[in-house]
Amino acid sequence: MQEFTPLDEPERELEHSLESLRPEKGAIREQEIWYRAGLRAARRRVNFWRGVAAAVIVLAAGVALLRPGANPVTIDHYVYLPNSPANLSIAQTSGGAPAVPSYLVLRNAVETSGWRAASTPQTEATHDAPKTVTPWPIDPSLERPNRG
Amino acid sequence: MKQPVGAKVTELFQAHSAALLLYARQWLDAAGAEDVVQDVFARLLAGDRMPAEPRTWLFRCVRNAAISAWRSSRRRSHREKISAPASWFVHSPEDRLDATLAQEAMRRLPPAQREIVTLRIWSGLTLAEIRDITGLPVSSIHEQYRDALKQIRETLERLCRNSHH
Repeated sequence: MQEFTPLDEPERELEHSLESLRPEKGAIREQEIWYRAGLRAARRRVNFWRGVAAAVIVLAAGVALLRPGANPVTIDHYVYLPNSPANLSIAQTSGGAPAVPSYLVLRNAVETSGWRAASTPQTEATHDAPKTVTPWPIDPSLERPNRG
Repeated sequence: MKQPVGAKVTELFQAHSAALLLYARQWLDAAGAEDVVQDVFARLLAGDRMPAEPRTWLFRCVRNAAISAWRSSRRRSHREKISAPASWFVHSPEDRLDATLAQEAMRRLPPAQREIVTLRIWSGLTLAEIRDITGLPVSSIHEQYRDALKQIRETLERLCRNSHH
């Protein structure tokens, strides 16, 4: 603690004389202070709710702007096609090349008619018009007799 | 049991409002000083918590508000000074000193010394509390206080001599 030279007697006396004077109280009213305090508190509360409202608006705008788009929905469709030999037909292409029967056609033909069907030519090469090629061998007995 | 803020503020108001008003009048006219003191008490009342040192807090707030108000209305304050100054003290026959002469002697002090004397004598603050409010070192406060007392005594003697003549 700092030590200071104490006041001498005349200084002390003057100090006491000054202390005897009472300051003016003025026209301050306690009610006025309570009123002002109420105004301050109300203003602070309003500002608080204004802040909350502003924050909610900003948040809502942010969510609206930054929301990711909906994911594409993939729907798988399974289509079943009938593959019986009767429904199968291969159209010869317009280029004149004989249509090549698929494995399934050949298999069906072998199952129906035996190995002979595999060696029998199934198509005729013509350049006139596309023909429908039967995928199975034709019974020779059903063929028209050769008149030539 | 903890005292409610309202009761504590009422207590502080009754104990210190006059001293705070006198302190604010070092910078402002009567109306301005009253406005500042009322505003500071209203701030204390509207706050949620009581400061740790309410008395020091009040004087510091009044000082800041009064200086701020004084800066913003210097011209008006100047006009007030030119016109008849309102009394700072209550006139009473029991006073050991003439209030008008004491006010005049106070007015002639440099502002820093006047502030220290006001805080020390009419607010009853310690040197450490005055340091917290003004920001000046304690040694400087003590020195200025003694100088101020000396100047007041000289001014009073001069004014008394003049009044007798």
